[in-house]
Amino acid sequence: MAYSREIIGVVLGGGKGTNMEPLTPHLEKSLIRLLGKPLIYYPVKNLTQLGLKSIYIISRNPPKISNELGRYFEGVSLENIGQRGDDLNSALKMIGEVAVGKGTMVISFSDVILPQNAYELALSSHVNSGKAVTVLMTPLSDLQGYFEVEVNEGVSIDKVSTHKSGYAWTGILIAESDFAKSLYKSGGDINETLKQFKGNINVALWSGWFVDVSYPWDLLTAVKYLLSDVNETRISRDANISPRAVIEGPVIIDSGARVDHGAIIKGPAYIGVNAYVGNNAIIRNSTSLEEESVVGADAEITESLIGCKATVGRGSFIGSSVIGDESTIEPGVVTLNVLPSGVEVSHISPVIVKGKQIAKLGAIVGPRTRIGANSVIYPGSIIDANKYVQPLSILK
Amino acid sequence: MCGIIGITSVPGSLREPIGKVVRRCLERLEYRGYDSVGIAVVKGRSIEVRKGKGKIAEVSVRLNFDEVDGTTAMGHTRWATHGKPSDENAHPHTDCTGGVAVVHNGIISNFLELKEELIRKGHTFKSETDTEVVAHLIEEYLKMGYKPFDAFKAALSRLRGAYAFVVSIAQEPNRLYFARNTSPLVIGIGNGANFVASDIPAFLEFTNTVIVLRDGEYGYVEPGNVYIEKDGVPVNIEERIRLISWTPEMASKEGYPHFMLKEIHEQPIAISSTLAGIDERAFNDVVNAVLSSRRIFIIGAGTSFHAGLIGDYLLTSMLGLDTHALISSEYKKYLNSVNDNDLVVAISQSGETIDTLVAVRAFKERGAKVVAVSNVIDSAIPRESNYVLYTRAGPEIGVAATKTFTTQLVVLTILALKVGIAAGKITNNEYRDVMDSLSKVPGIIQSVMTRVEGKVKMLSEYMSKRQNAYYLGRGIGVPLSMEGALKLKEIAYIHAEAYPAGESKHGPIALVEEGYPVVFSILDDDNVDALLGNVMEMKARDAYTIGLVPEKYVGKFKELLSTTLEMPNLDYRIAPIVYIVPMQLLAYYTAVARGYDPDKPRNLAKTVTVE
Repeated sequence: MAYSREIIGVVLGGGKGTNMEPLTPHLEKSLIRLLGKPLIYYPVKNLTQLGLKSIYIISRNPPKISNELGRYFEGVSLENIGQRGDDLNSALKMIGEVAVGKGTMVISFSDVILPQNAYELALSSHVNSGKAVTVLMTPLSDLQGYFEVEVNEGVSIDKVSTHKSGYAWTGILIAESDFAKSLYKSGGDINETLKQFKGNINVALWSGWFVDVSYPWDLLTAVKYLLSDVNETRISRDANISPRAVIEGPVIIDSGARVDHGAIIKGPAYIGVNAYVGNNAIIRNSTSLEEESVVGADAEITESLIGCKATVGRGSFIGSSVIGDESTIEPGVVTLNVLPSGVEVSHISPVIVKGKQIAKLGAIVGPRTRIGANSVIYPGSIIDANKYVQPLSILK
Repeated sequence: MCGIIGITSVPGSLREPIGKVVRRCLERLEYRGYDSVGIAVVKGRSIEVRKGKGKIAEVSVRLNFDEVDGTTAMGHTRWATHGKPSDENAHPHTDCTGGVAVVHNGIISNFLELKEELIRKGHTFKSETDTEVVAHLIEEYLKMGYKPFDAFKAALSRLRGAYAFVVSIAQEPNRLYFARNTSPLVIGIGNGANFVASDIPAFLEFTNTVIVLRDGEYGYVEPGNVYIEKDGVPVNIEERIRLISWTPEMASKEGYPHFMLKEIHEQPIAISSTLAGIDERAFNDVVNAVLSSRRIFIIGAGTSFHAGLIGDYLLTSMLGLDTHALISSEYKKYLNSVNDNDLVVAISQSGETIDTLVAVRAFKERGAKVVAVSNVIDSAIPRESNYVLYTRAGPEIGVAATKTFTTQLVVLTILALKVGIAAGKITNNEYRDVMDSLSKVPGIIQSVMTRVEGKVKMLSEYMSKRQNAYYLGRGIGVPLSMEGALKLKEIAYIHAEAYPAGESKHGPIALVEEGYPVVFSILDDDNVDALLGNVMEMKARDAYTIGLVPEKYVGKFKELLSTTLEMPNLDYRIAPIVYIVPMQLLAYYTAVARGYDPDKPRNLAKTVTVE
């Protein structure tokens, strides 16, 4: 086999996504939509923007992924491979198989989202370092649920279960083929392989934003940061915007979307294909309405993700919440979104509002669920898929 | 750190004089060093060298690099480590015959013994550098009848240390030899020309086909040919070639998105090098000068002034010396009273700060002796001073001073301790204890960064939305706070003010309202209880209180602080060196969160050379 001078990309998307319930297994995690695109689109896009022309995607459902992604990437060879085994080790082991006859590989998890600069930083630093492997890490105030990178004499990567600050692995790894081969031989044991390559490891530090989508609420962080990179308003020519609607700040309105009289959209926000925003509804910052979702009149939505074909009834308030695909929130439902103090949830870092630290999380509503009218949902509630909740319920 | 470049080409393939090409490549390597620069071009069977002290822009015009033509050339931009920046010490270095030229990045640790050996064999050295031994060593092996490649390999086998080399041997006018051990080196394979350089951006204009060398590899480039081996075994070139499909402008930052973050993280190394490079003789001379002076003036501008204030605090409060720290541009206040009984300590990272230079000249004229504290060997202020103490932070590119500040503190603290022991003001045990703690500072900074960087990043999201901040402390914590506030001002463009915490109730507290950020530097000294009161008064006004607190006082302060950054328990004399690091990080992350480039703050230049 001819040796490839091109640097190739590898995306690991074979996780079971158990932590993402109740959004999974209704939908494969990497196909959950954010700003109109499946989650896995983002790392693949980052890799293609490095100029990589050949990208291998290891996943549980290669035909489906290939079907979903193909349309976005022209002139790039996307090779879909089925993953054997469920855990990270099996995925890492498979990199060794991909590595045969290849040179440098840029490896990314399918569920991490970072700005393009982060990938450029890692790759530039790698090719100048002359080392066998580069680990990209980023500082976090709470490492629980992340992989911690420890750099001492050597480098180690371990999952952390306590609340402490330090450096988290971004899920980006750049490996020469000899590292990938050793990874294969060790059965995908990254720490064992890092030990073997002691002194031949390069570490790069990313200081900008980073999201690792492990839990449903991470989708909200992802929406926030993806929207923070939107600098201008783009309204599709096929969108139908009432002359009496107010659109402020950077907003993307996709084709076929309708924004009715008196609606207010305060960006940054995304209004998906064929989505509908009713009379006098308010869509506030960091909100994404996915394809064919409906927001009734007088409803208010902030810092939330409304899934495909989901409906938010008139007069509801949805804050810091994820509403699963095809779910219905009947009129007058209120989500409360400030977690009581002392409640620590993995991956949720407090924000400072008026000088007070608070952690915000509303409801996570699974797909195809119906929440009855005038219900009140307490902060941090998780409601299963395919449920029916009676009107006037109080959900804790 | 230094930058190196080598080019071999087919005649006509570059379409411009090779000297001009080398000059352009060097400009992209300037971040690696900028105190002197040089080029060498092979001309038939000899090598023409043009080199001199100064920046690339200046030297390349003075020596007319752009007109030099040829097919094989190399260049070097230097950051002095062995031997001051001078025309002689600039690279390339040649052997006695002028037939071997070498450019080098790194340090040859056994160069002294090699040099002695070569001098015994009759070689004449023209410079004080470690690099020159390589040229003579190759010459020696050539004289013994070795073929050029064998001579190069034989010379390599004698060298210890960290290095990246490019070597030209005039017998083979189209070939450049190279070797890498620890210092970076990459090869660029172009159309009609091949390159070897310290990093990829240097030659990216000409080719995106590269081979990154690994430690222990060496070989040669010729037009249309690359040969690499390691331990005598040839390396399969085909497997190692990569196409660079993106623009690696960040390559030069070695794994960091900005120079400022890189330099913050380099502080442990910079402090270790400064400690290792302490020149006992120079310090003794300065100690004697301090003890025989009536008064000490410490002058500096910006961050250097803050370092000076901390030095002033130590000399005054610990040793009772008559010390005055002043901002360089305000030297006229004391001019009338200065005489030959006074000593001036002039602090300047670049050694070129015009305000400080002007003050030095004025004080010197009145008879005062001058001690320079600088990071750039043999720059203007050190040259005009009676004594020099160098920090060894390496080149600092970020406009906001970080590692040069902490290394200045190291030098000033050691000076204060040495004066203290010479004057009998501190005991031997105390001296040893503090010096011992100082030697642990690099490791302490490393662990503090690991622990606080994530927290600081989170805090920066809040800071980024504020327009004002106070930085408060007492004692040595006051100048420390001033430096913390300056960092936030200069790169995050947030108005930040520092003042002694006891001053709050005399005015400034009037500005405090709900959510107003106040950063407290709480050290392990006799001000802890007073500061507790100051934190309370801010908390009572709903300020957003941020505290850098020694571990043992965390319990005492935790309830009053909105954000607690836990610091190790440290002697107050060395605490500022560690405490400034989280404040540097806070300024950095706040600037990033606000969308600013921390390396290029508006309206500011790295070295201020106008009054």
